Amino acid sequence: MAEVSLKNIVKLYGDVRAVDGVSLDIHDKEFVTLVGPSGCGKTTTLHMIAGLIELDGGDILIGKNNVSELDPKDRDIAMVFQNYALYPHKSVRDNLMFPLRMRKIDKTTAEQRVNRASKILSIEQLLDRKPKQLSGGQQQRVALGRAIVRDPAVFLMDEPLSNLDAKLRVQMRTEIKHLQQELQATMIYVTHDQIEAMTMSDRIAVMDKGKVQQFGSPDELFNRPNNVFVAGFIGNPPMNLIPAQIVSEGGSKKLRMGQITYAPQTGRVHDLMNKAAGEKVIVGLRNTAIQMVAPGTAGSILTEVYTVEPTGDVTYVQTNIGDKMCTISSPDVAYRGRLGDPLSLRIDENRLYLFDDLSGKAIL
Amino acid sequence: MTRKQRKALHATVVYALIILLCLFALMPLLWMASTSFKTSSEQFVSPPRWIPQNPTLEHYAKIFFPTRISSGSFQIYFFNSLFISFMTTILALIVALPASYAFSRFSFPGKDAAYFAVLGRNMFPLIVFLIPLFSLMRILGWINTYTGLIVAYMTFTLPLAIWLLKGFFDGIPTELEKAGRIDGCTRFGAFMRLIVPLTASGMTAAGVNTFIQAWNEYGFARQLTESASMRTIPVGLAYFFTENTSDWGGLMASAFLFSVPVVILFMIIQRFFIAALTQGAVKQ
Ligand SMILES: Nc1ncnc2c1ncn2[C@@H]1O[C@H](COP(=O)(O)OP(=O)(O)OP(=O)(O)O)[C@@H](O)[C@H]1O
Ligand SMILES: [Mg+2]
Repeated sequence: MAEVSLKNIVKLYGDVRAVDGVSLDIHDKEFVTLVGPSGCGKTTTLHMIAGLIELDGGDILIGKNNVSELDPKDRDIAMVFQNYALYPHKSVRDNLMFPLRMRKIDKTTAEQRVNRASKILSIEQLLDRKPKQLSGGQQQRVALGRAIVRDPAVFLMDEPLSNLDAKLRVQMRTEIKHLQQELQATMIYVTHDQIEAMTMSDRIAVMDKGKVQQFGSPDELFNRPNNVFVAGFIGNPPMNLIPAQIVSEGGSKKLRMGQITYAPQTGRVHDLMNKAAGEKVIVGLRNTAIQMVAPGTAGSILTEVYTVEPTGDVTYVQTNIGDKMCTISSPDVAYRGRLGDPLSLRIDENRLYLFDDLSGKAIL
Repeated sequence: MTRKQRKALHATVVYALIILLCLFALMPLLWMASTSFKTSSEQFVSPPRWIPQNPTLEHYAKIFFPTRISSGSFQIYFFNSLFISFMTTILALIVALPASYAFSRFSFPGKDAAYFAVLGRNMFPLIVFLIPLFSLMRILGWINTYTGLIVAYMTFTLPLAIWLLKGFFDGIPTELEKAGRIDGCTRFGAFMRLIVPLTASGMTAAGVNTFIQAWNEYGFARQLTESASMRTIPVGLAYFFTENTSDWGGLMASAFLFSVPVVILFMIIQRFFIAALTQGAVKQ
């Protein structure tokens, strides 16, 4: 096992900066996830670490070695692909044996390792089948098996769960996490599903447009997003991001969101407003930071119900705040308001975020 | 009419049409076989007979042991055809395999133009290439040699083989080579160990097709060979007609023997061949 360092790596496709100066220091035995929307450069980054794509700039270190110029086979990595990439003409056993055979590991050791891996993944009964004769979930296990027999320094996984149905995905998510801890492996995992990222990772790198927007623990990303992009990407439902203007009325600063002019009560928010570079900002509020209160409560704002979405354990209410559709959680799960019902909302100012409208950066 | 009856009627009509088509295709072949066993006088009796009254092997004897010195014997033609077709197939596959892989997997400057040129070859009749090829072979000293013919045959066998194999490679996910390279192969190793085995049916399809094309070729073989000892069967067949004589018996006997290997080859791998063609066409 080993640590992995990406030092300002760059990949260009013509004018497209697919990976635009990514730097990450990944610790030994750490589970790191690259997450971001489609086309943000996750796969490209992973393939660069694997050596399948050449670097246009920067360096990659695995352990203490600079591997930037090495072939994939010499980097001591294993990879699981989204479509599994099992060798269709080989049996499951031969699929697992292949990486060992290529590395000239003697037969008895190789067989032991294959047996151990197939036991860990419970695929012992499948060893003599061809990949075509397996279900998606079984193929997935074999692909994991082919990675773990090698006992590599780093595991790379590119959306390994996206071809599975929802239920199996949740189950395999737990298994992969468990496997990583059992093997004490350094794991770099790619997904576009932020829930997968949140539940599995020690740390998450949120990517957009070829750049790392923020690298931190799930808690950090959720509670202290660096910028609007991270705030809107992490969390389900996503954070409500309301365009606002800082205005001065009667000697004190207020937030104007569409028709609503909101007078913050706490010193914290006033501090944030004072730090803002311009008057245009974005107010960030998680669904739980906006509470439904009794009509007429001091400091509350008035809106109307747009829709109510019961999900079972939580009931979400959609409403317009300053022309922006926002999602809030109702304190009463049984709440069933109808279109146009009046709502009184209180903002939890301790959990209010302000972002600069121009740069998108969090104002701290 | 019940549903069952309608089905039966439908089947009858379909089979009748199929049999008719088969007869249409087979008739010349059967007539050829029949004529090759008739004596020279029986060949022209009217009304024509399908079954020879006095079957004879004289024409077969004649083509294997010709009396005239100037004409080669059938076994020489047969060997030439077999050897040239076989070597053409091998060479075409050796060239087409990496070429089609490169067209399928790599991006390089001029790739589209090169691929267009390969396919574009099919837009011109082969005869257009005859004179330039003849001059070229003369310069190289390859007139009247096996090498000359085999290389000339690349002009029409390669485009199809490359196109066919590229379809196969396109259908194989690139992740397979990537997985192989991570598992310890070089790029070339991954190609040989993981990709080539998957194209076995594609290579069979391309190979059989190349063989048959080369086997049937006449124009190049006629112009690029000089001596009787270099003739292939199609060229040899033409020599059964001279200004004064036409030897129908010899022609039919030779033509019959000429078609046998192709028919046998096709019968053996027919199912494989069809599977291969459709597999290449339909991408997973
Ligand atoms: N071979 C290529 N040629 C040209 N552009 C490419 C190539 N591969 C990727 N790109 C571009 O690079 C960018 C990043 O692609 P990448 O595959 O890394 O995205 P991703 O984050 O993995 O997305 P997804 O979630 O859809 O898999 C995209 O804009 C893509 O169009
Ligand atoms: Mg991807």
